[in-house]
Amino acid sequence: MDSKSSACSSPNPNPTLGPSKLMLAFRFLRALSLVRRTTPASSRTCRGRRIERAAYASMAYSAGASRAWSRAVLRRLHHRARRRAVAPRRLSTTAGNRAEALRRLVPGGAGMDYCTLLEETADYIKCLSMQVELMQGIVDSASSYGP
Amino acid sequence: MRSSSGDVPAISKPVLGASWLDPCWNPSGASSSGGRSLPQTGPGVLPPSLSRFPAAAGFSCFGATSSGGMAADPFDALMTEQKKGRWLGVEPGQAELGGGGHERGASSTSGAENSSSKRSNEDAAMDRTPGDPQISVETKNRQKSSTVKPSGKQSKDFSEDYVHVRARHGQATNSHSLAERVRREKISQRMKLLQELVPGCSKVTGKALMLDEIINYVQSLQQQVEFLSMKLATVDPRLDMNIEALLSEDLLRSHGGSSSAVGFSPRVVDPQLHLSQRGLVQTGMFGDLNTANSFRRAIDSQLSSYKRRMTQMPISCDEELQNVMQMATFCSNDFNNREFGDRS
Repeated sequence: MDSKSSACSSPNPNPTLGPSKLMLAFRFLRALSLVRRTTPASSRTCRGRRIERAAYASMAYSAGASRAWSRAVLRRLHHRARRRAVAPRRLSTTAGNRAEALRRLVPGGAGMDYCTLLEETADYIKCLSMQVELMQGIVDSASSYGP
Repeated sequence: MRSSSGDVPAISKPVLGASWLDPCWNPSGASSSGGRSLPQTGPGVLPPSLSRFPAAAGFSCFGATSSGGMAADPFDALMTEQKKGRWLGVEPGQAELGGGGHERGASSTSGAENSSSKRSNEDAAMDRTPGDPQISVETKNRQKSSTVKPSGKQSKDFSEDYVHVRARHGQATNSHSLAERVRREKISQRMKLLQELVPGCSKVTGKALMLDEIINYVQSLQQQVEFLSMKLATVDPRLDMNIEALLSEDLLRSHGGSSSAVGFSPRVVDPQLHLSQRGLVQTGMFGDLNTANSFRRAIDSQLSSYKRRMTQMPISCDEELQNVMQMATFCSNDFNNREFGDRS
């Protein structure tokens, strides 16, 4: 996964316009094809996890370094890659305090104040929904070929 | 103790005594109305009042120790915050240099590199102060005043460093409550933004329920990513070919301007020639995007896949068109928005 993360170093050209769909699509498709080529087809869960990490990585790169959540995502991915640990499932229960639950969900949310947390959540939601839209489109186009 | 605390509606505070925090900060802008009440201490000292604030974890980058002799004084918070207000407002370049020097030196001692790196990557459109309500309001910079104005408060800024906020009639003029009000309005602004983003949130009223909706939405999006990635892992192997096709088509279209279907048919007719020609041109253009290698790989795989197909039964060109059309609909929103300057 290090090759994937270090391959793309171009910053977000339009930080004010928000994350770029085209760059997201390009990055994710490239990472997806790389993962599909390098991992054996037998290890489906391993592939799935790698694709999920690729999705978050391309999201974070497209969002740019100006966002705290994107930096936190990349930091988490790079640390995991170095330590070779499997990413623990981020199960979040809605605790009594909703702000805490939101902090657990949004990457990098633990270290920010409430105001910034809301702002980061908004941007995170935007990028996540773009990513989901992209992946759904790929799955749809793949399944439309049919057997 | 301090005459200016809460007595007058319009609060103005000079930037005092912060020079010991930032060696490259220019103290020439400090006006000296009211004396310095902060004793000069060494740069390694953090007032204990600041250490209580959760957002002040970022402040600890200036020095992790706190002196026991310093009284818990909001003025200390004001002073450090004004210094940051200075960073945010006026000299971003210098601020990054000064702030970066401090932060890099002490970032190993604090775990709050989040907020410190956030400070150096300042987004001018958003107010990025740590936003603790105890920190005085007059440290907010000019961007802050522009968001305060529509709320009905009269605010004018005489200098770049701080704004004067006038309290509304019949409301508390305490500096703390003013800061509280400003913060609450920021929060409500952002909640409105979130309300628009999260579908089905417009019917919900009240912060708690809206937060619940937001949390559920984020959770569902993350679960969708996980589910879709598992699905992509097991989907058709022919997907790889199409992905390469998409990669080459995307870049061609993005710099070709308009996306017309006319461009697709010659590709089917004479794919090898067209793709290699266009590929070479595009490879030269995208050197800065680091896509040259991937593009060559895409072209090669595309050519090989087409060669394979020519020997087999010819697949109808509808599949390719459908495929690319789907990507087109995904990306065309981006194009239209970017052309007209909207947020995608």
